[in-house]
Amino acid sequence: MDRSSHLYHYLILAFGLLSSFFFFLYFYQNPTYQMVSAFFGCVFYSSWGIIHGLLEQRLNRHVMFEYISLSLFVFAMLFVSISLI
Amino acid sequence: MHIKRLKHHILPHPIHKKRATLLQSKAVLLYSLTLLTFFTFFKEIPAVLPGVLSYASNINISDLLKYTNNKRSTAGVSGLTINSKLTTAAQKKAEYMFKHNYWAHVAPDGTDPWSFIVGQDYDYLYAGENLAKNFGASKDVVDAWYKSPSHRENLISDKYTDVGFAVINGVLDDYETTLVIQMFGKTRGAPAQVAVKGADQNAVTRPATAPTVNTTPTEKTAPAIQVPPQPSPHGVNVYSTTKTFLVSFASLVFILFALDMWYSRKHAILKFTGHSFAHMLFLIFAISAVYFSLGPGRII
Repeated sequence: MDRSSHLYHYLILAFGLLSSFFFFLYFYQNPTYQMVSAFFGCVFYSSWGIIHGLLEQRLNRHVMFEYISLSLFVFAMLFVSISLI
Repeated sequence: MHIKRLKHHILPHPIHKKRATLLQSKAVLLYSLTLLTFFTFFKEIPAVLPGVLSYASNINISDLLKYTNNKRSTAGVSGLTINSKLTTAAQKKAEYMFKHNYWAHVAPDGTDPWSFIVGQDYDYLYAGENLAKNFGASKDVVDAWYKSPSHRENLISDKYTDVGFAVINGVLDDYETTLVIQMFGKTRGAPAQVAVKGADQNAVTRPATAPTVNTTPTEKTAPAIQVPPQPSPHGVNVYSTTKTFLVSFASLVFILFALDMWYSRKHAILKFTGHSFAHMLFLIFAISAVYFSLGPGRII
């Protein structure tokens, strides 16, 4: 994969994560909407990792599982903070 | 031997070309389970040991009034004065919320906030209520109300002339909690200012009788009631403990990914894994979300 495509993929990733973060901030006092923002942010990240791996032709079960497990970890972290605070 | 094994827990394996053990997917899943265990522990502890967990607070009425009037002044609206009847109504409301264990403007039995105001013989023309819980400082409470459109409407409304506050500690849902009640009002006797908007759950208007202009103040204009400061709740502070735990945990995972990236580049280890840089970016957003966007406390 050439360098410009790689950069393009990372720009999409940054945009997706920034959007999710923005909605998380915007719904400061609405735990339900914050939970939805967190959920979509994590689903976006897993999807990005899998699609990026596919396009790079380096996707296998382990790589896919790695993106999903990290997304689950981040979602668990945001879920705990939204629920307890 | 032990050091070598320990090394592969935190650094990638150059021969097997795998991530450090602490970064492998199974380990990350285990971290998620650890977080959920922490959550269950904090949720269940109050039922077993009531009062052990708390949301510590350093809120006082004079600061609440000061910050409220600062916001009004910025908006070009005249300041509010403490009214003893509204203060007593706010205190009664807080006590009622603890007694009936609810967190809402209207109680499960249908008791609305206005009945507490009327109960103190405050003949209101306009009334409003803002609620907050689990905040640590007066400024945070007023800032949170100001950020919310419906609460800001109450906070800087020129319809109100009086205000009453209650800052009461108690146990709500088994947690030591500080409730902040802010009740706004304007008596029918107070000089009228027009413009009435549709009433919602935290604001009400009584247009039945036409407001009369009364130049003689019916209430004292100076703070009429002194409420002793509430002692801070004891026990483990849920807010700071949760925040510290989550930020530290995620930062540790971030550092492990950074080490992984650095060591792999240094020793030219080509691993068939996901991108460490993307993982780090994702973790930065997650840590920032916990650190910056989760303000202390809740308002309604």
